[in-house]
Amino acid sequence: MTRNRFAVMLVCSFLVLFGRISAFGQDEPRSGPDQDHGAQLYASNCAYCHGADGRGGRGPAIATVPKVIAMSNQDLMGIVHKGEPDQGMPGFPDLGDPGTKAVVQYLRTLQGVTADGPPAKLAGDPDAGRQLFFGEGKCSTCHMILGKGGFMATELTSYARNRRADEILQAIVNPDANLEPTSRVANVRTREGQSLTGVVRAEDNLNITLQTEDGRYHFLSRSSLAAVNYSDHSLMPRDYGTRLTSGELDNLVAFLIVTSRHAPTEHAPAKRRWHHDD
Amino acid sequence: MTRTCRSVFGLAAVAMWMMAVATQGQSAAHSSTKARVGVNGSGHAVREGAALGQIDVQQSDLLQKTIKNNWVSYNGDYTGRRFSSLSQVTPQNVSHLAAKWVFHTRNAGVLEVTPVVVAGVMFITGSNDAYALDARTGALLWHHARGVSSGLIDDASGHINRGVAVLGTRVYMETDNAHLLCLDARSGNLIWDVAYADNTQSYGATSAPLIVKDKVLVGTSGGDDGVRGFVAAFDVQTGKEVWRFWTIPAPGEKGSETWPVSEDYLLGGGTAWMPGTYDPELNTIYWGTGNAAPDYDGSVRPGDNLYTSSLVALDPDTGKLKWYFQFNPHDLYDYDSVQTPVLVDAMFRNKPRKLIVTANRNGFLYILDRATGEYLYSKQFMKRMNWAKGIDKNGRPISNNLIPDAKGVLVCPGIEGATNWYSPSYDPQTNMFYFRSLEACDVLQAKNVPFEQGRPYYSTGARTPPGSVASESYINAFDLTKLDFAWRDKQIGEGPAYAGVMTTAGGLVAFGNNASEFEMDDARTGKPLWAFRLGQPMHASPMSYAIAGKQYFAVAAGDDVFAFALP
Repeated sequence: MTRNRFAVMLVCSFLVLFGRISAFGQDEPRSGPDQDHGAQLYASNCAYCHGADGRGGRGPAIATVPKVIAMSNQDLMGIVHKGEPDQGMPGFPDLGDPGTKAVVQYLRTLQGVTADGPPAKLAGDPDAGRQLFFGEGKCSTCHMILGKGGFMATELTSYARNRRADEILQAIVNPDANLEPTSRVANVRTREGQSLTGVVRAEDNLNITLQTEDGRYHFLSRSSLAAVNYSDHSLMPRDYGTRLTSGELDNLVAFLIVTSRHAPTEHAPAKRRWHHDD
Repeated sequence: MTRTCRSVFGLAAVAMWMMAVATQGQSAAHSSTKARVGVNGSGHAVREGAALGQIDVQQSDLLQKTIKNNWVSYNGDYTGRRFSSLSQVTPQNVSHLAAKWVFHTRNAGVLEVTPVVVAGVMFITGSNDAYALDARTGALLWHHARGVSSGLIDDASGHINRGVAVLGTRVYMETDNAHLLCLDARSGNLIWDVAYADNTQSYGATSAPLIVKDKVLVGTSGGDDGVRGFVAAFDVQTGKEVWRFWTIPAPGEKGSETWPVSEDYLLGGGTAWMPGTYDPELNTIYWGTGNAAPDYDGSVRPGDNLYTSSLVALDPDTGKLKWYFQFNPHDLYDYDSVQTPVLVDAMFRNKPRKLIVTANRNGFLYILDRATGEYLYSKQFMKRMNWAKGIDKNGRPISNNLIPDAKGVLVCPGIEGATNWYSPSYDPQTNMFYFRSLEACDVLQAKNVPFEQGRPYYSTGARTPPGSVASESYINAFDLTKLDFAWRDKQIGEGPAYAGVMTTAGGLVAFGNNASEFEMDDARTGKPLWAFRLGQPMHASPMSYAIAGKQYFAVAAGDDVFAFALP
């Protein structure tokens, strides 16, 4: 933990040196000449391998990996400059110092590392959010945080690390807007007329694996099924926007943000199926 | 488990499913459109077996006397014998055995994992990553990704991991920097993470944990890096440490007289870097320990150096030592003794006995009484051995007093040992003990190097002398009835594999051969029957499982896991 904190301090101090990127929390990342320049340089030099969003492609993810997030700007600039030849990454010495800085700054916005002095004041109360998460809100029925909670839905300890408050709020009140393939629900009917509904954990042209709420995986051959219907909805309740007050929602968001700030850097959520950012 | 539920489709929302889950004892008050994800009606027709896909490992599963559909731990059961009672694949039909799937971990290293399979779900590890797979197709169900640790040295910096332990709905694994992780088996979510060794660079962990009752047992690597070995037990629920057995006694404790009076015992090695075995009736766990450090320089550690290069028998409830047997007192040749101590119940010299059979890195096979630790028998299996003349009546080697020095001395077995951590197997049908051996010698040089924190504590120079005889590998079948080898098959191929063996009730011995192939031989005769080229180095031991009446074999090679079955 000491080391992690040290790494975060390094990042902070470099961010101070390099000027403001954006405020933590609900503000949009600041747009400016440097950032546009960084985005351009990123798109033409980095996106081919690391993905336009930094979540990986041919090369590894760099926006979502805690270890990369925890690196100092200086280390990242060093990597951009020299490359990591044994990892297959070329160096980009032609970017020069200003270009390298701009690329790293842009990467920081992709990572959602938006620390700039003390974090912006959170609108909600994280402690109240915690109570809601593990209590009345029943979020922990499906979601786990720091080892407590359910297993059906995404683990959320570091969820808020690279997300803005407004994004998190949207994900709570409008959960199906960005339906992840890993959250997809399907109902299947066997040729004998039996029905089974679960989250799709693996599938191909021949097979589909559903996980039901008891945690059981059902390994099904499509040839044994009369019908497979995919839902447009995840398992996430869609009425949080009306069921919870805006104050309560702010509390939940604050809880997730504070939790992610204190998440161990090696903590990465388990993934269902391959992601681009493996 | 009969469930009544409505399909979520056609309902206004899937949403309320969440409210219905795991709320037994609470009322899901606000659930107006309650729908559950589950099996409709009796539902059993959509499942292929009562428990398929449902991970919930009970103590009774771990205590099973025979390995059948599930392979519940690194060695498959507590005896460590790696004998599967599945018999679908036989010498008669093994020629039809075919690859079913390959899982590519994208891991940078070579996998040393033995897969664990429970209810049709396979759990594997590579470095600090854990994966759950559909064991029938190899499809990924979840992946717990955790980067490798930086700043590690020596063995730990290889980021090796040999697999998981499972209990209930939880999966346990060690990490390269000696953390014990508890993961949710249904999602891969991290439940807890316990750092169990001092925060030095020197300790690492490569083993699979072992569950015994309500504890999860681990050891470490790093025995050549200036550490003091231990086996530690943690509460399976909380991760709280229950006991720790140090493999090197502290000054004043029994056994400490085998070390010089200094702080050097803290650097003495003896790490427990492989899983142990467990006899529930004797309530005893058996754990092998690594070599003493520095490895080739014994001048700084006069004495037998207990309990390095030993087998320790411990009470699993307390970690108290019941007995020990030291294979290599005052070891000078890096003869770790972590090879699986296989528990065998068999006639020995016309008496039924509870035995331990183990082939040691020092070139001798040993039979011990596992109730008492009494030495019963040994057999030299390395032909070119030169470090010892034999074993005396108490089980102590009669050393030839080869002392590695600055100039170097030729020692057989050499640095890789006459056998190593790759698995042996005992087949009760043939009453034979199977293991891989290596005939190789090295010139061992010692130099006196003071310990420096964060640096390996080797006094090592090992080299293969020019013009020396080429190494040879064997798969051996040692007949416990005749107390002699039934067969020894010299391996043909480009180089020695670090691949273990297993046996089956179908009459097969399965192993990775020297040509990067997964091979099956007739267990009685050693006759090669089938091989499949994996095309990658094999540093792993195979296992077998069954789903819906079909027997599979799985083995890791390179950074892939392969599965095989009959068509």
